[in-house]
Amino acid sequence: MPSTLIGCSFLLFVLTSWNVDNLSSVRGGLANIFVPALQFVTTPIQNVTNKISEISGLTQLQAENDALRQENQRLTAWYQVAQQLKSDNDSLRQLMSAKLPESYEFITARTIKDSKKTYAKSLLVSAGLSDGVEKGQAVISRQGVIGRVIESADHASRVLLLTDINARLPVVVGAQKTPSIVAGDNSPSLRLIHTPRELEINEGDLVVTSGHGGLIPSGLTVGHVKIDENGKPYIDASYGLENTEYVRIVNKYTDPALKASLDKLNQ
Amino acid sequence: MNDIRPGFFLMALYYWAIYRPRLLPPTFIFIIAIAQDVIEYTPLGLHALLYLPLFVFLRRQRRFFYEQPFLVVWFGFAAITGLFNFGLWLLIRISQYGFDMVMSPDDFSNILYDITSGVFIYPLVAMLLFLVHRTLPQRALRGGEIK
Repeated sequence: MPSTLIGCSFLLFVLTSWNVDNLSSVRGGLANIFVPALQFVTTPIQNVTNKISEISGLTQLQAENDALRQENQRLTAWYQVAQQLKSDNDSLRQLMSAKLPESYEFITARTIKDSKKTYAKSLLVSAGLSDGVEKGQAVISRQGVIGRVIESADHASRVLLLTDINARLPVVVGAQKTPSIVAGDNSPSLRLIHTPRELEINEGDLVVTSGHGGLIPSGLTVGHVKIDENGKPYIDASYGLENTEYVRIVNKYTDPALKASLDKLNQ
Repeated sequence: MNDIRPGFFLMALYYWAIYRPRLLPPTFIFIIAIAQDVIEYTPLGLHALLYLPLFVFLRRQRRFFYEQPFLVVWFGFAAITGLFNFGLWLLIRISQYGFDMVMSPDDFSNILYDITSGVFIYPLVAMLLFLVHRTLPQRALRGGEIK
């Protein structure tokens, strides 16, 4: 009996190692069964952990409060600026009669299980096809883009993090809009590859998604450039990946007519 | 940090394989292992390939462990969890890179961390399982006794 099961496991292992997409429908079906069970078990545990950290963090509350108050003041000032810019932008767009497909909304999901420490860097989140989550959508945390949806079942989805060795994301860097690709290598820092040699990348440059390929909307923040001792640019992603209890999934095109025409063009 | 997640299932498997193997049918182990693969997005069958041979091995060696003081059983667990974690790394490495075996310092420290946290938490889990073990009906106990 055990040897038959070991044989079965070996076959399954070879089949799914060969190509992780093999048996993906089986995997999706199983996720529909196992994920709600896991969520049922983890929710109370997570609540208790949160309560404990709340109590132990009581002393730091005063300092945090002050810091937040200052940040709030700063952000309110920026909010005014943003409002101003938005109205300018809207009126200029009207003048140019530009049609920009930028209407997207966010789906918030709770992380059920993160496998950041194991070898496939991924998250399992509590929103799926029934909430409008589809394969390919971008996933952001408070610091910006952290990955994209690679698998979606009825009520849960799998997010491949940017730090995974298989993750690639087209971006533009800095004010010059230098095109590049962000690539993970299973470490907390992201490499910038395929950057044109003649264009410069400087420390501190903002990296945002380029929207090339059409899967992920343009203009979402990925991070800031740092330069390592060999002079190679990278992005430190460890900070953004710390707060992933809740993530937001970017539902790109909410206008059904626009989505239909895009699908038609992509055929 | 929410990063402490030792392999609780391995602990339970170790305990029951030694004291009451009949409570843990291999089919059940297989189902739990597949669930773990689905949740952690590892290739299907990966965890089963580690749990099942370990279970079979422990079931054969239980006569030795059964009579031993706790300290020896604990050492046994340390060895098993070490074997399990290196096995896990090896199989994942094979599935991702083929037979190119290079262990990064990050991987090594992660494995070491998982092993140590597992070893230190095992006595607590074993105590809980012992309490469960004691409340089980005697008749069921006979089925799992050393023959």
